[in-house]
Amino acid sequence: MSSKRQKQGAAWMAVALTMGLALAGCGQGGNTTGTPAATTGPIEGGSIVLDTDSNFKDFDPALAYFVTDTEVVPQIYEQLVTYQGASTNIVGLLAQSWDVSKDGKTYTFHLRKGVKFTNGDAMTAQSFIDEFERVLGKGGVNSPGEGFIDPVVVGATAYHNLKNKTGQHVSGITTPDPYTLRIQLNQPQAYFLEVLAMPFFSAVDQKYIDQVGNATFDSSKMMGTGPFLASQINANGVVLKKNTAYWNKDKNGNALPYLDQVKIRINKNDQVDTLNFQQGQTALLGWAINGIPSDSIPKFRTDPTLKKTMQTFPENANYYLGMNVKTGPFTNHNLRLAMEYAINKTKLAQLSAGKDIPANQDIPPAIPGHVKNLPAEVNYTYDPNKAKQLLAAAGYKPGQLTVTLTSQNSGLAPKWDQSIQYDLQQVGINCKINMLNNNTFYTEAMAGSLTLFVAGWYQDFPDPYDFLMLLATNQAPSNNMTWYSNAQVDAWLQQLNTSTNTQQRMTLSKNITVQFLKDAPWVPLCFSNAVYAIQPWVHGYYFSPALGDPLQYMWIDKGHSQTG
Amino acid sequence: MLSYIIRRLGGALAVLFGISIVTFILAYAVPSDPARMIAGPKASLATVMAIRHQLGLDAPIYVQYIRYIWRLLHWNLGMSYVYNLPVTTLIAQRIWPTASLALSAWIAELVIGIPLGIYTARRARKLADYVVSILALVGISLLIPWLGIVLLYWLGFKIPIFPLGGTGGITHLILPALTYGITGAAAYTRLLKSSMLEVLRQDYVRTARAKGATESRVVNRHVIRNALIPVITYGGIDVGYLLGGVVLLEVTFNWNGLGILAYNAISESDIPVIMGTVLLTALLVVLFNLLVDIVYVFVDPRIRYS
Repeated sequence: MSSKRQKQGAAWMAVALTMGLALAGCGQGGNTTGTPAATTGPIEGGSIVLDTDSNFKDFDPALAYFVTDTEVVPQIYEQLVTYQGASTNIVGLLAQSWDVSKDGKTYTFHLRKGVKFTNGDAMTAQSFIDEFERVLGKGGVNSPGEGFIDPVVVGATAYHNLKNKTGQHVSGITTPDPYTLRIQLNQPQAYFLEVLAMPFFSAVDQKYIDQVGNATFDSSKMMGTGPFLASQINANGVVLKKNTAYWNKDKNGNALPYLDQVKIRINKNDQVDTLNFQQGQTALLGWAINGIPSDSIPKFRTDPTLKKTMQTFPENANYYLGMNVKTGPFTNHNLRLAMEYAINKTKLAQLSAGKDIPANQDIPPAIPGHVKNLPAEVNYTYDPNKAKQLLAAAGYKPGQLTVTLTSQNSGLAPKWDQSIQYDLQQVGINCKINMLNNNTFYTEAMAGSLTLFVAGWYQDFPDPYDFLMLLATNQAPSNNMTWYSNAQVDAWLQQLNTSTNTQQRMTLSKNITVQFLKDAPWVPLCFSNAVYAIQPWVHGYYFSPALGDPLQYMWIDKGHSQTG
Repeated sequence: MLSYIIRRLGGALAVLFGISIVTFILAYAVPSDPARMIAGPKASLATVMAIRHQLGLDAPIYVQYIRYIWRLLHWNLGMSYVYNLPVTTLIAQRIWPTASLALSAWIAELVIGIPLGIYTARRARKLADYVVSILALVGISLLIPWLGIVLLYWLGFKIPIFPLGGTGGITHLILPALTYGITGAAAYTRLLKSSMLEVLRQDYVRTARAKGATESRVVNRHVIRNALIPVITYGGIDVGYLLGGVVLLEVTFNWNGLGILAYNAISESDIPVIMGTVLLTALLVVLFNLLVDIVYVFVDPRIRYS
């Protein structure tokens, strides 16, 4: 399940951030934790401008897996279910309701009637079947979403493996009638609805895709049922216009979205993007730009006006120092334990201007399954003397061992690398730094050929399995880049994947976390926070732990409309 | 003259061919798998292999190269792995923004650099010469991103005369052009100054003065024209540097052009885009050098191509 962003090369620090799969919002009015509601209630109209510092890659929901794409795609396309505002509760979006069979293996969705694509075609259950089949490879689409439903959904693997998919269908996905969609699973999955909330599984109009072609559908023609439609896509960015026929209303019955237009500009220079925000030209430094640039955070903290625009939210992402347990020096358990005590995580967190907090495990604090009180023997803290003792126990004299630390050449990586290098030298380990560009880093890391590396993980959805699966033997080397393998952990992971009993799943998460920390294939480094800036004249903003900026619920005070 | 141009263009083709081979090999030397990146981490090996096959990455490198050249001969630069758009479309979207940026940057260099070169040559070893020379040295030492941000901060943010970056019209071009002009003009100033000082010592200049020609006639008619030859040569070479400098200008001023496209393509292993932008750059450099050689004929009557 998870995937992502890691690899796509979001800026390192942002690795995390990036990814996320944003989803369109649900039927609640926004405005939960973000900005105060205006006293007058939502105001319709007006336009806003946002800056992003990275390019758009894919607009096809079957392909969109990159942070910048997930700012846009969920505003154009909608899924069966989504998250409720800032919470992790799943609510219906295009599905009005659903039933789950007693054995947890059959999901029946009852779709909203009367929802139309912006070209006037009707949305039906077939709109989802078409997309599921595209995700599984119909029409030559190579979707990163494939691994989330194959082999989970009955018949998915068989369909994916077909050479010629024409006229064939996935046996486990059926439509008893045009507004009912039934999905059968091979085994129960507690987080299947969260999977369906990812943009991969949106309603699409196959007739339209056939007309424009897969490639164009991906790169320059978006068309869905969502609150916005794409009016302009070019090298400078994307302009979204309000879908005036959008079906969804806020809780007071007002039409959504409130804004007439959202322009997202590709502007690579973070410093200038910050100045644009200060000048009031842009509405947010939010999801699309990964928050306030680290270099500007101290200024935001000290300037009284800017300080009022700052909002900090826990972001479900981690960074870790991975050690190859299959080959090289880190096959030595004592050496890995020495590493656990050698790294000063507090210093790493300071280097990001407080965007990060020190981590002691895999699962971030806001994700269910995070272990609050770790047993003392695996709650490793910075202790260079203990690290030295363990290094000696591992059979190394001070200065005898030289390791190579590999990281991505972006974001905070150079600062972090030097800090880690210094910490290791203090305990008697020589460290060389090898920085690669993002693509090369992940090509090497996912081939399992790195000895010591800094990597991160951003959630696909708020579930412990999305983080703990990184430790599974069958995920090596691609997501499990350390080659960690423990049969007991694998068995627990299997149970965690199929159990639907929340209590049991929390116990399993704890067992896995403690065992993996004992085995120590990673030094957990930091969890990250989203540090955003939101103009005081922007209302309705909230930070969803699993979604991008809620553009469809935002409104602005009169007199602040910007068209960039 | 015509046969000379044809010979040079033939040579240019050979240069481009060589560059295409070198770039292709270098692009493949990086151990970065575009298919892996496109597929994402959850993808099965079979999906990765399917993408490799779809992109033709499973063929031997020489086969891939021959396919590439074959497509190139049909004016097809291929499809970007990342954007899923034809490379020609990506370049076409960005070529005019970049050309206008580069041209204004180059003009700014000349407009600042050449008059200062003439001025310092005529005031050689006087206070004005030292002041301008020191300022020129300061200018040449400034980094584009730093000076760009300073100008943006003062003239875009504090005193909002100009837009705060972004791709746009003439008002958007002024600050980047000024930045490049200030950092690049010094080379022209110093080159023209030393060249003029040398020409000023020539016999024919002394003769012209002896004949009673006015100083401005001597300088404008005899000195500058002859002294410009090395400057023109440098101007041709400078186009190559300019295309590099444009990357910095584009990043600093949020200008979405070819420089950023090429820069991102390298970190994303987007080989068709790397190839397309490198070949285009090489073609421009070759063409500008040819243009420089042709301009010589008009500036210096002694030069003849036959």
